Amino acid sequence: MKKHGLFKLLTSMRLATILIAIIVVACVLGSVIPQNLTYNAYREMFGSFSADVISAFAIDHVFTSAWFFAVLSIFFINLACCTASRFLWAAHSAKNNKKNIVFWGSPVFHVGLCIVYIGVLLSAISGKKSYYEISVGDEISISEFNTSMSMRIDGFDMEYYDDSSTPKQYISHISLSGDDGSIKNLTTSVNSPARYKGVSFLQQSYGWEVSVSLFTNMAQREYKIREEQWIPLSDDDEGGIALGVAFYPDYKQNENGEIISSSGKDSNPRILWVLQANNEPAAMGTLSKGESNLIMEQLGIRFDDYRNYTGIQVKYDRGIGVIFIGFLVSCIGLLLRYLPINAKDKKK
Amino acid sequence: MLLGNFYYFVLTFLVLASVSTIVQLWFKAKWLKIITFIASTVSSVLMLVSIVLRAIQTGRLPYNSVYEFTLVFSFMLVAVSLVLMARFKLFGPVAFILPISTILFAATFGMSTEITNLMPALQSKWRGVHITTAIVAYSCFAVSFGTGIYFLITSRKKSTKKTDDNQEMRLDSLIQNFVIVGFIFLTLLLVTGAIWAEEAWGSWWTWDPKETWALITWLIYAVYLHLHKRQFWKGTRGCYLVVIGFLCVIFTLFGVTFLMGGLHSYK
Repeated sequence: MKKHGLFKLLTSMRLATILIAIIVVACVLGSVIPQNLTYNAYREMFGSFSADVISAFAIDHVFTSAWFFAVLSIFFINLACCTASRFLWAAHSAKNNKKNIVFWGSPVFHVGLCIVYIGVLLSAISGKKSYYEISVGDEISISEFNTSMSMRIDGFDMEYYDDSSTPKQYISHISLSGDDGSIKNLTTSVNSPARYKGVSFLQQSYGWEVSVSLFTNMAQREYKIREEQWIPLSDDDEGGIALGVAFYPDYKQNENGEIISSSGKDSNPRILWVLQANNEPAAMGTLSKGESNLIMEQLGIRFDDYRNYTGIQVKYDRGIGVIFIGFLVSCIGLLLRYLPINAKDKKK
Repeated sequence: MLLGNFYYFVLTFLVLASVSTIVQLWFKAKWLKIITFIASTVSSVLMLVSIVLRAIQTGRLPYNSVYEFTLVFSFMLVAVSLVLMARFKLFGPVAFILPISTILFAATFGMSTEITNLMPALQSKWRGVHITTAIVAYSCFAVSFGTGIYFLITSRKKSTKKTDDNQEMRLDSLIQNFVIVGFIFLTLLLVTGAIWAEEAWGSWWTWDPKETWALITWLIYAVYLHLHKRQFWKGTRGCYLVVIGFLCVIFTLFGVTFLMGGLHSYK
């Protein structure tokens, strides 16, 4: 079997080795040099010249750069051509020795890798992924996933280990409502994503949302705060007055007098409020649910309520199945390639 | 520290085994081989006892931290060394495998031995398979590395004797076989990791430093397996690739964990 010109180049091991070397260098650069920073950050870290080089060769985002994608694509073409060549060789070899399946191992392994690459392309073209942080009881539309459905968080549970306050599992109870009135109830937890009509729902995060009210004799305004937040009370950003609120589900003061949360459980829920003036704490206090404080003249704060919010990743990706099929085919190829040889060697 | 009662005892035997097998490279005395074998056997039994006790205490496979992983990795290398000595009568390569095991074991002294509950992301059916494949793959690469170093050293004082050529071919074949098994398990490591990551993080590949360095390692050994078919790359040149590959393994395991962090940072 004679090979000529371009096909010879594309099936050459030399080209594959060069491409692999480039991929390895890219991987080393992409892992050693911090990614996705600003030009100024690179200049501070490595100096102006290095920052220019990093910027010019897109080393600040190696794995999403055009040149890296181009190298991977040429490698895929090289892989596909090698695979075709190996299939021809395997068919030729199998004619002489029909019982030996070892010839098929390498082509099958390379086919698997090609399938993985096709899956990656499919993912890049058709895959969709969004992350939502939704409070318990709230509902959002997820129509961008072609489902014409809305997602409601019915509940959020945290499981704990028996002997400690360490979280064991985070569980979100979801209901999907369709336009036609249909309702589908799902449960998702870490490592056990829920799936419905090709859409995956992954448990990613969680937190607390606190409702507080600021009130005067004349008016009242509600705030919903996640984690820690500063509420400006004056128009002056520089050195003005601001109110900071933080939530402690299991409030405790340690031996140093510092406020901590003993666990993630809401055993003793309190908020800490801090009034800041000219960037210095002016007053502070803690509130249990339903309690209120006067934080400054004619302005009070009330801790109304709290609830969990959950971070759900919603994903629709047809490429994933193709990628996993590619993995399976590659593994079968590896076993075909090497296990028969070992068996044969053993017999010898 | 659970291993505390055994630590210095095991370390003493490992050092004894390493020293005797290294000395044996110059003085081909039978009693040195016997010391190496006995010391390796005692240390491996004690390490196995420690690993089993740790597993009983934690109620799961002892793979939860860098300490546990390193302990099992170290044990695997002693176990494979015993097989090489007992089954294949190969003592030379062991002189470069046992010291790796000793260094790994000694390094566990500075690691946290605290038994912690598994965080939700680590509670997966894929965890056991994923880490087992890592231990098998890395152990195979460590053995191929040790054998490769031995090959490189002995081939420098190469004579024209036919017996030396046969020995070199035997070693080269041994290195290749360990790389093959390691490569199969490294592939399974990447595949199981990808499936698990898809379930836990919603992304089968994130270019996390650990993933990236595992890929680099995989590519280097893939190149070795391809090039090794050619006569030019058999022997010395192939051994250099195997050495580079194992340096990547060590960096993936410790360098990435302690220097780079990322999603796989379970110290």
